[in-house]
Amino acid sequence: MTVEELVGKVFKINPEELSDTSSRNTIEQWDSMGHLALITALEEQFQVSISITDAMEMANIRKIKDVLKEYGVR
Amino acid sequence: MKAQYTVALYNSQHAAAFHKFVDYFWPRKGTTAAGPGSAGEANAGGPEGFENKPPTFLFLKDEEVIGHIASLPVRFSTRSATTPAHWVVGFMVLPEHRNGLVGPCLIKKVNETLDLAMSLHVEEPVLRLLKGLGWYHVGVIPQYIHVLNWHRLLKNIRTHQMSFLDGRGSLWSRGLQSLASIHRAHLVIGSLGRLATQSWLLATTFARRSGRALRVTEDHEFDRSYDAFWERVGSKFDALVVRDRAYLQSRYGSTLKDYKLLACREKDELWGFCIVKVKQFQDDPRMGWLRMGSIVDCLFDPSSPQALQALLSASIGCLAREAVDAIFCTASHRTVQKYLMRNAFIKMPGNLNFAYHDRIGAIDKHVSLSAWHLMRGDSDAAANF
Repeated sequence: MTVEELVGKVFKINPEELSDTSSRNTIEQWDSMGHLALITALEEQFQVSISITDAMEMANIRKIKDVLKEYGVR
Repeated sequence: MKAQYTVALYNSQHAAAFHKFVDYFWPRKGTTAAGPGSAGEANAGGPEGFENKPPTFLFLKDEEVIGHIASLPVRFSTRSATTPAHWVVGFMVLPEHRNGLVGPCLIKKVNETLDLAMSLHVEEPVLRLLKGLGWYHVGVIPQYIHVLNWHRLLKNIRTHQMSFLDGRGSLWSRGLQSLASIHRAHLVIGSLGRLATQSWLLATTFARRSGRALRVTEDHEFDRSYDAFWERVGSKFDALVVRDRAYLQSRYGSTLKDYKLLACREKDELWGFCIVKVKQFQDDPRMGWLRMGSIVDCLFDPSSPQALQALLSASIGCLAREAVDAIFCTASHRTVQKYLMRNAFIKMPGNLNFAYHDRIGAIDKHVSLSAWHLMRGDSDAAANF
């Protein structure tokens, strides 16, 4: 599953509508709880444990991909 | 260099950053690390009788505090057992970090740390977060008003500035505001309101008679009779926070001058008490200069509630003598609600949510909100009114 697909699944959005610049500012459902749900979904999907510092960085899809790379997710 | 974010329990190393955070939200408190009855109390060592300091949860950006939740230790009581519990209070996040992970991470840490956590709060976003993280929302505690001066209330009320009137009750507050906006309506409607109150009290005279030699006086301390009274009545409630002498002393003792403690006795035996706040928002232009009082706490014998009647009558009389315009009371227990109604309190929409997170199965979820005995005096909710 791609990051876009996962974000789309968490926020119930068509993944094709998402891009690297999709962010908390462009996705209405991406609020506090949405962010937490997204981090939890990322951890489960990619079998990683994301630190709070990195989770705080994940404010858009580009950032999510960058952080996941640091965790060895390709 | 990337900022480091962590959730931590308060310790002395956080003192300077914590004081800065407290000063931001509660500037009038200075640097005494005293939030409004919450963080300060918690970090000052907590209520008497508890060996360990209650945990305070901090969300840190490097060494800066950007989010905070404090806790107040209490004991939760049912008909058969008492269990250590905590009120979760002082949930604050710096504005620039709201709608992010700060709140959820703090609540997750609370869930992991406290066996039984409870919350009384008015903010809907907080409720969404708590429910999203597994808290059980018992309900919104009903609120009541007894109007002592209808003229002043209708003439001066500013419902748009009174969040406790708005809440979920926009229709109620809009109606009140509409009445207040009609030219000189306060004179006519005020007279009608006063007449209605007096008529209701007359009609319920018989129901309010106790036939017992109950006597209500003002106490100035919680003596040993409060422990004996708790021992007699505590287990008669389905669910409440222990209100023994130690709790009352820790909750109200240092600030008792801000309240009136009314005690009901029969032949020197305590049968109930009521804690009344007289100067609530007095001289506050946001409140239209209205003088408001509130009944913030009480304890009575639910199987013999005549003392509650005597205490409510005495509270109304006491606040009337203080020239209060309206008395508010937030109460979940069905007996308190029944007696409030008998004493011409009008039910209005509440805004105080009660929720809990129970890791140990101490609370029976089938206990309805009206079986809980909760009032504004619980937690630090009186400060939110």
